[in-house]
Amino acid sequence: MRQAQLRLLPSVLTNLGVLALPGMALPGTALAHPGSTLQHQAGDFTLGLGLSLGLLESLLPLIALGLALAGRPRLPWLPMLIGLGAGLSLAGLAPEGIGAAALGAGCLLALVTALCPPPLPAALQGAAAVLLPGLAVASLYHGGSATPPMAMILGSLSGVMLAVLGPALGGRQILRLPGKIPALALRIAASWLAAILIIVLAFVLAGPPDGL
Amino acid sequence: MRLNRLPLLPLALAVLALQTGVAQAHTSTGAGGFASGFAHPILGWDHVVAMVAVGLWGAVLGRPALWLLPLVFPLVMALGAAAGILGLPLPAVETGIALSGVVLGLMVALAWPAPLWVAALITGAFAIFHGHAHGTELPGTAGPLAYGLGFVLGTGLLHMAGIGFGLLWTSPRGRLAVRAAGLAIAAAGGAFLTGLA
Repeated sequence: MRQAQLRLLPSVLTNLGVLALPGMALPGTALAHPGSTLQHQAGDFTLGLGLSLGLLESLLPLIALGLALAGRPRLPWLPMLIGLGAGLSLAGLAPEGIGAAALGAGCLLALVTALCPPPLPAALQGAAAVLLPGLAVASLYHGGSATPPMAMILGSLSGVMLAVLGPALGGRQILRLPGKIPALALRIAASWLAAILIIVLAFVLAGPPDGL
Repeated sequence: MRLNRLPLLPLALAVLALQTGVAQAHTSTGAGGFASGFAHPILGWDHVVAMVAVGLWGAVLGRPALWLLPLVFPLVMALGAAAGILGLPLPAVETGIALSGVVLGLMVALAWPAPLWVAALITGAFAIFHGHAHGTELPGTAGPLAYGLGFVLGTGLLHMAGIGFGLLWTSPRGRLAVRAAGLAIAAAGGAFLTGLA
C-alpha cells in the first residue's frame, strides 16, 4: 500500500502543477509589485493558501467534494481544472451570495454522500468536481476590483487542491479497510459535515449579530 | 461475573453519559465557539436523555437503524438550528423537547420494532425541536465553524453513549438494563413535561 502511495505522489504533484495553469492564464499583475522579491511572492502565496483554507465558504464545500470523491480510483482532474478556470474567470461577475451558494452546494453534496453508499455515480462526481471548485474560487475572489497577484492565485489554487485531496485520499484509504464499517464511517462523517454546513450556512444567511 | 467478561465499553460510555452537570443548556453564557457548541447539548438533561435514547433505540432496533438514527438526528437537528438562527418561529419547543424524552424512552422500554422509516420520522421530528432550541439560544459571538463542530460532535457523542449502552441488548440481563434505561428516560421526559424537573 505504501508503494502505491509513493507511486501516487508524482502524479499528485504534477496535477497540482497542472491546476496552477488557469492562474497563469490570468492577466499578470506582477507589475503591482515592481521589484518584488521572492519573499514578497512567498508572502502572496501564503496569503492565497490561507485564504482558500481559512474561509469557510471555500473550505467546507471542498471537504465535501473530497469525501464524495473518496470512492474513485482516480480524481477527476480535468473537470476540476475546468471548474477552477471558470471560477477564476467569472469571479469578478459573481454576486455577493456566491459564498452562500458554495456552502449550499457543498451541503447538498455532503447529504448525497451521506445517504448513498460509495462510490457515487461518476456523472454526479464529475458535475460536482466542476461546480464546487468553481464556486469556491469565485467566492474567494468575487467583487474584487483589482486582479490579485499571481502568487496569491497560485496559493489559493494549491489550497483548493489540498482541501479536496486531503479528504479524498484519506477517505480512499479508509474505504480500503475490510468490512462495512469504513463505508459507514465515511457516510456518518459526510452527514456530520452536512449538519455543520447547514449551521454555517444559517450563520451566513443571518448575517452578523447586532452590534457587530 | 469475571471482570474481563463485563461489557466494559458500554459501561464506560454509560458512565460518560452520566457525567453531566445541572441543566444549564438553556442559559446564555456569552461564551462562543467550540466549547459553547459542544456544551450546549451535553449540559442539559432534557437534551441528554433524548439524544442517548436515540442511540439506545438504534441499538435495540439493530442495523441499519443502529447507524441511520444517529445520522438522521444531527442532520435534522441542524435544520432546526438553522431555523432558530434565522429567527423562524417554532411553537412549543420546550414541550417538544420534553415529549421527545417520553416517546423515545418508551420506544426503548417497550422495544417497539418500528419500521425503519417510522423510527427515522419520529427521531427526525423531535430533532427539529432540539435544534431550534440550540439555534435560538446560541451566543451571538459564537464562531460558526467552531460552534457547528462542537454542536454536532457533542450530539454525536451522546448518541454513541446510547449505542454503547445499547450494546448490552445482546444479553438477557442487558436487555433488562436497556429497558430500564428507556423507562428512566421516559420518566425524566415526563418530569420535564410536567414541570417537575
